[in-house]
Amino acid sequence: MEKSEARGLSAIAGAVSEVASFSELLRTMVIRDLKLRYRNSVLGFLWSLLSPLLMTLVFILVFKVLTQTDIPNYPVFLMAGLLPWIFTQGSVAGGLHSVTGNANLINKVYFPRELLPLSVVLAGFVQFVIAYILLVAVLVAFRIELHATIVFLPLIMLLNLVFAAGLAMVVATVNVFFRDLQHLVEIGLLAWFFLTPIFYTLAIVRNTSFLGLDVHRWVFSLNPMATLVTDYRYVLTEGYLPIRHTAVTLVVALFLFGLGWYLMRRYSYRFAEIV
Amino acid sequence: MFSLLLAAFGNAGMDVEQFWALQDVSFTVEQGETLGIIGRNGSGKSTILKLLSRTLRPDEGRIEVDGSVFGLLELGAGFHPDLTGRENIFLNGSFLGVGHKEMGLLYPEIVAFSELERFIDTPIKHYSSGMYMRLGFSIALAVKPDILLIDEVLAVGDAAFARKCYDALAEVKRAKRTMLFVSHDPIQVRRFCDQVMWIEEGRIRSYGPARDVIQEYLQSTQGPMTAEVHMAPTDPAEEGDGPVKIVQSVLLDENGVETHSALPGETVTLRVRYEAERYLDDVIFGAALRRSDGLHVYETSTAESQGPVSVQPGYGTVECRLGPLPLGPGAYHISLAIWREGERMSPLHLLRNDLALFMGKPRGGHRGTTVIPHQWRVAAADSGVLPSVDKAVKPQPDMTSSSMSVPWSMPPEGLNMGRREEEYLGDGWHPVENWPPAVRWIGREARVVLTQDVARGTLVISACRPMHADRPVKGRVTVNGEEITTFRVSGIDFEDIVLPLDPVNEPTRLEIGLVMEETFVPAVVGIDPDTRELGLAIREIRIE
Repeated sequence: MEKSEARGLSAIAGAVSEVASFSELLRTMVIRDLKLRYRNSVLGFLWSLLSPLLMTLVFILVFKVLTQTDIPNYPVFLMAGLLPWIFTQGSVAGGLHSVTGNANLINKVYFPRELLPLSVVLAGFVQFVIAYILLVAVLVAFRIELHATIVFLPLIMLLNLVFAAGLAMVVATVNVFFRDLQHLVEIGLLAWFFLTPIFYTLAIVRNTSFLGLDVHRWVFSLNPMATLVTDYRYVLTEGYLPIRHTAVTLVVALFLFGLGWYLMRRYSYRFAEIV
Repeated sequence: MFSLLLAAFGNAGMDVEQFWALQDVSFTVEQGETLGIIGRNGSGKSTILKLLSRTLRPDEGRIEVDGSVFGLLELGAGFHPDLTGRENIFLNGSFLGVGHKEMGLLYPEIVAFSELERFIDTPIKHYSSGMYMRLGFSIALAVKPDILLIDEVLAVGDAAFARKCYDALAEVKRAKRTMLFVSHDPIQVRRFCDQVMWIEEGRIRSYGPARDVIQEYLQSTQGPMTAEVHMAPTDPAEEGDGPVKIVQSVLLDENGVETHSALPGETVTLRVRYEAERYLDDVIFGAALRRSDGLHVYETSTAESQGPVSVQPGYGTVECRLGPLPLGPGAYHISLAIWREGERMSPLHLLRNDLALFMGKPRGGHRGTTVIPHQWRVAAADSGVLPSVDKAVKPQPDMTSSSMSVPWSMPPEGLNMGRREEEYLGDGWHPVENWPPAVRWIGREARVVLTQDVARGTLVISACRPMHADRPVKGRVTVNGEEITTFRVSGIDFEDIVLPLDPVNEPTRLEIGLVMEETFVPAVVGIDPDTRELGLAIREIRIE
């Protein structure tokens, strides 16, 4: 019993040290990924800022102009939630194909396979952080009141990163064996987008009960993205951090990360045969 | 110090039907040793390298590797097509655990060896397979891994670079680095490897010193006829201690690349480098060819054409072009000698069985010891009148390697099919050099004109995409303007399109067209700059 525990621990330590020894590779892969994202496009890296801006414009058009939503500072509200959503969605979509789309590498060189989804997620994270820093800069420039809780922002980003990375590793592994997943993920992401309060606030969702369950609570308490998106907004403009929900999300994120890592470790030896 | 052990492993699929790619394969390679792995396609050779490079994991058994491993497994291993050559060098370095800084130090060496200076900032999706190979190989050499795994990659690329690679590998071997070399060319394996493992159907068929295993392999693959040939002792022997000495001897193929094998009808050049201590004016250089059973096949010397020649102190070179070789399949040895006129029996220097020449067996096969140029012609049913003289069997004047027994004429001269003379398709993608001579490319179309004699025939067209392609290439094959079949080409491996042709009663002109759906850059004669996107060639024409 003790022995197997020790072995389990040393296996984890070994896996971590292996990935650490490939940190240089991870760095190169992230850079590669960033380079490839905007290669052959005229505006290049600007797109990582431009596309959320344009999406924000679309939402403003739809919800502010057409439906007259009364959320104050609607552009800021939108951007604060949209950026993390784009990052998370990009991580899942990118992670999904990170293994199956790199058959060339999988078949020919050895490296810890976790690096494939991780590099996609990290590349997205770099863009996300830059975009968010610019958002905060814009807020400062426009004299929008910020709160001291902004110091929690990096922590929330880190939490978001762990969550996205875990999810990316899970879908990357599963997609190798069940390609059906990629179709499901498409629909799933769409549903997830609407179930996350990105262009609306939690307040507008009525407390509906369905089969005796509180829908509001179920959908939003159990949706880590709902917590994350509201967290970003709260620390930015409300000066408040919902500790309890965030703690739940932390547990979920760590669990997903552990699961993703485990799946990768456990099944990556089969990748070369299948991909 | 370094040891590597594989024991009873295999590679089971997820299907109910199990297939073991390898079983009971155990071997150890010591540091500094070179192990060659030979065997037919699909025998499991490449699987061994994949296991060693950790891209596959054995289902059973274990592998112990001590040291860093670089696997040059396939073209473009670990390259990203959208990145430039420069970026890929650093990316590839990271896969090997070589950091950015270190790689920066190796970078000039890599670029210089690959000779890709002009293209190093071009995304490598525009590279040809030869250029991929140059880049990969140059990185492998520069990084100097403890263990180098090489899988057939040298088959691609132009002759000059292939030679450079082989020289570099010989250097690796001299430097006592560990190397595993997989090939189905036993000659190259013999050149680089101390030990050879012969894999057949996933098991070790034979394992031992290179010379023995390859002998065994060649006997087995060259059919029963040669297997029956008793192998005489072929160990080299040396005699004489005169003032002129042979210092180096090689056989070169038609491209000037060192070779140990040839097909009937091909020509090889024997190049001997000698060192003379003093001036002599009555020296004769001679060469003798013996079959492996000791049969004296042929002997020639400079005395026949030149008479005695004079040598100056220092080094000099003598060359002898041999061929077209009319030799049947099997192993031959060449002995070299230098003597002074009239002193044939006491040579200045004699190297007995110095060079080995393996004659391959062309497709279709030959029986017998000698290949005689010939042409069969069967007349159509006639009125019973004796055939006139001009219908009698004509000897074929020109014997080229593949067309020897093929009743096809060369395309008529002055065939007008395109604008640019150099845009031929055949060259470079053809296993048999210089044939067919003129497949012409116009935009999306390639055409070759052949004359079919009275026989049923099969035409084999080979196609490949030298570049990594995202989507398959589609095309049609037409004969005299009529569509016969369509085809798709997706990979860098040659795919054969086989066309049965109807028998004809009299020689018929056939215009064979290859029509692609999109415009591609075809194979261009001459290597640099290499922009090939599509290789297409008429590979073979068989009679049934």
